Amino acid sequence: MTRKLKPDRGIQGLIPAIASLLIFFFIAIVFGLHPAAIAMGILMLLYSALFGFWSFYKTRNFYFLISAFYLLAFGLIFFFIDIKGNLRSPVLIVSDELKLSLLFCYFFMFWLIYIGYRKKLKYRGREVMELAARDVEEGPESYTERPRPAGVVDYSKYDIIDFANHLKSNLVCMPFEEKNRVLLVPVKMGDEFDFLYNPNYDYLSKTWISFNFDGQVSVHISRKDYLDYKEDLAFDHLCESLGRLLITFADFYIRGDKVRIIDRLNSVKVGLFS
Amino acid sequence: MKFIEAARFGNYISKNYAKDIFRLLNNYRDISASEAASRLGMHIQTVQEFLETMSDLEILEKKEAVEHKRPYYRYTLIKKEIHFTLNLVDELQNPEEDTLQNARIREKKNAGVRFSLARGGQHFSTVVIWIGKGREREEKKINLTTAQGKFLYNLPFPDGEHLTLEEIRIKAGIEKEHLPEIKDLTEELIQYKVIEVLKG
Repeated sequence: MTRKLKPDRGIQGLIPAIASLLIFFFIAIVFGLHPAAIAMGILMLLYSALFGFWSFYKTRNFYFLISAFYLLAFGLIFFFIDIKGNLRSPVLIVSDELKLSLLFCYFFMFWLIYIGYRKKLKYRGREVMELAARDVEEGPESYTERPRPAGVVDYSKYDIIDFANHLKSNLVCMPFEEKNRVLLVPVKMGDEFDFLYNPNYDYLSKTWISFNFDGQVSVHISRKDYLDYKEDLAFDHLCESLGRLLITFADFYIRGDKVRIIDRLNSVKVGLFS
Repeated sequence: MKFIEAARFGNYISKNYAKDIFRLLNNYRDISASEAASRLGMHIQTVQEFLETMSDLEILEKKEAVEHKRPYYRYTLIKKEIHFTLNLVDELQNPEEDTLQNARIREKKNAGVRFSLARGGQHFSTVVIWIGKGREREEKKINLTTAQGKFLYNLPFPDGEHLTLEEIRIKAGIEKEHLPEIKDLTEELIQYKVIEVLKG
């Protein structure tokens, strides 16, 4: 199947790692290895809170706790590590606390690699947009910022909220509940930082699929997401297709076939970090 | 009475001298503008305009008279009662209405228009259009009624299938009584090149 979206070449996910290395080497050169290790330990604890616990709080995806504990254990290693000497001839002194931290770190690291491989920590916005565009042909100059009515469902308010929460914990779409509807925002990898850390996150300007509690379904596709496709796709068809996709997901959820949602998303072969 | 005639009639009947002129016309079998002006101490041009207007509206009869080879008009009151009736439904009907009735419409490509969602999320509350070019460009904001907002929400996309007003009205679940306001908005948006029409 040919991809409709442009390839993702963003390096946002690598920025914390690159920044940490730069800070480590800078402090190591200026102040020595021990202060650098302490600084790294503090950074890791910070990352654990920011990327692990905060992500869990925002998404209710329990796999983020594994990431949080991994970073926590990794941070502790830096606190317990005792390096004598300098950068050219470091001497490592291994204490019992360090051994324990290493054990936990390896345990959570392998667990993290496994769940990473299974895409449990991957924001699925890209797959959602790929699936929506699968059968959509080209249609130049057809974009409009208007939302489009995309159908009607016959579910209760609580079914819709449950469904939205399920999508949230699986990182498929992030729900925003309003008085009489829920908006589902598919977040792509790289865009999650805006969702997670921007207190003024303007979800209405993003791509969303709204489920009104009276059953009306509407779709809005942002210009940014539309331009992320390689071609100008027929916009009416694209919106209809996205609405239909989410209605299908809702049907799967209500029928109890939740796994089909993930199966459908996994049918789009995209990389772990895109 | 036609709207434009009613407007003229209303304008002149509201003058503070109107009753005095009518009183003269009632008392005299016929009267000229100069006679009436001198009798009321008014400027002849003012009286002339009043009498001409009433004559156009067929409240007075105008007859040409010749005196010393110079023609002038004499006016006679021919109506004892004036019935002021204005059929607003007929009068205010949109001239484009019949052509719009069967027209198939959708949003125009690159309309450059901004829609704001209403609180409920199922209709728009305003539409903002850019008018003019370059430095002359300015924003025109149209506040929408709920029916108009629902109508625009269901307007076919630029690449969608053209639909008639009636089809969109049904799709949007709008009552038929709101059709005139929808037509009014549609005409406005056609004018501003936000909606394109496929006449059928």
